[in-house]
Amino acid sequence: MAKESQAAAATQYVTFRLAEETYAINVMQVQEVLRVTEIAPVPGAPHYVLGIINLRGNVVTVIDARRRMGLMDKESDDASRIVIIEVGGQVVGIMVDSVAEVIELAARDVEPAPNVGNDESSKYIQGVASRDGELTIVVDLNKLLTDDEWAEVATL
Amino acid sequence: MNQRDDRPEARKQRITVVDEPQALTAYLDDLLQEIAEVTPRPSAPEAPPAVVKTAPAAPARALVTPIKPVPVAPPPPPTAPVQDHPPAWARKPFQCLLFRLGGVTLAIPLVKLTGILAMPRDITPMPGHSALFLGLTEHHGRKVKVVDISPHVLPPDRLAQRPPPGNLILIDEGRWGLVCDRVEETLTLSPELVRWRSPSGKRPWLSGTVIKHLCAILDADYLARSLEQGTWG
Repeated sequence: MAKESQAAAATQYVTFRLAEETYAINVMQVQEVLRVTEIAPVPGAPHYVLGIINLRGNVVTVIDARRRMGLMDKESDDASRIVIIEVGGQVVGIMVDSVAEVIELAARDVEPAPNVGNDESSKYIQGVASRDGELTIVVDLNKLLTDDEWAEVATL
Repeated sequence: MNQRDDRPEARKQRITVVDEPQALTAYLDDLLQEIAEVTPRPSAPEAPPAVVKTAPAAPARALVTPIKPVPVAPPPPPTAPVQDHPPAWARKPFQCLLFRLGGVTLAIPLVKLTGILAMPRDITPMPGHSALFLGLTEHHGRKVKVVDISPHVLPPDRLAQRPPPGNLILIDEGRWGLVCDRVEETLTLSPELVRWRSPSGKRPWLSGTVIKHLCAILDADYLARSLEQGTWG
């Protein structure tokens, strides 16, 4: 019984769009969503780091979600957003094409991510869920970067 | 820039290479050469086509030999006898679906075929995966992993000439969908018509080749297994 209720328990996710596809991240890790602001590049930063922003006096590193996921670059536009997330006590922003909505997904709705010759860089894909005839890719933000990469980002 | 050799012999040779059916034959011939290397047959040393024992194989043999004559295999060393390995489903005549991939005819046994779909419009790509994994699509509520095996199956010169994919071949209970140009027909094959690949062959995705029909039979079980394990390619 407890197992069933656990499986049926829904988790809220914030969805965003990247290259015409929908991604979902746990709402509990989302602090806020910003319009694109001035991003100061950081020399020598990893290629997936766009730079840093000043968020009410705090320096926040912004990661380009497209680059991180190996997608083609895209110029930011009016729909682009920086999603401020918190991972393991570290606050970073991720640049996405747009933010869509908040959805609820039960654990049973999320199928494990397929494994097709994927390398470490794709371990952040927690699974996929079907909604309204479309697939939503559920991202595990904790694995968006490796431990070493999180440490590197923290020192920028 | 290279000078073209326009002597009649050279021109004939070029025509032989680019001609569609003969190019296909050359591809299969390559496969057969490998099989010949790993499964030498003491009783048929002259050329791989000799394994096609039935009369209808004669035209195919005629097609194969002028393009790329297979060197005469030396007598096998006196080690353990090498045997072909027809799988269990091929102990008696079996049906195959023929389909085209990059202009090459491939076959998959019907016992391993889950279904055929028109190429779906909605394929959700999964970032960070192997390039052969095109993404996921839904079919009857099930997520089908769509893969394009052509870079590992086709000769390099075929990759650039591929038409847009037209169908998806579902295998492994629909877990995997193989992209193809189009499906063609089904045919019934006798096990004797197939040159079965040895387990030690270099192309584990290959069950065997059928010279008579100029096609290569895919090993669906190997495909599914290696794709699942992420070891394919």
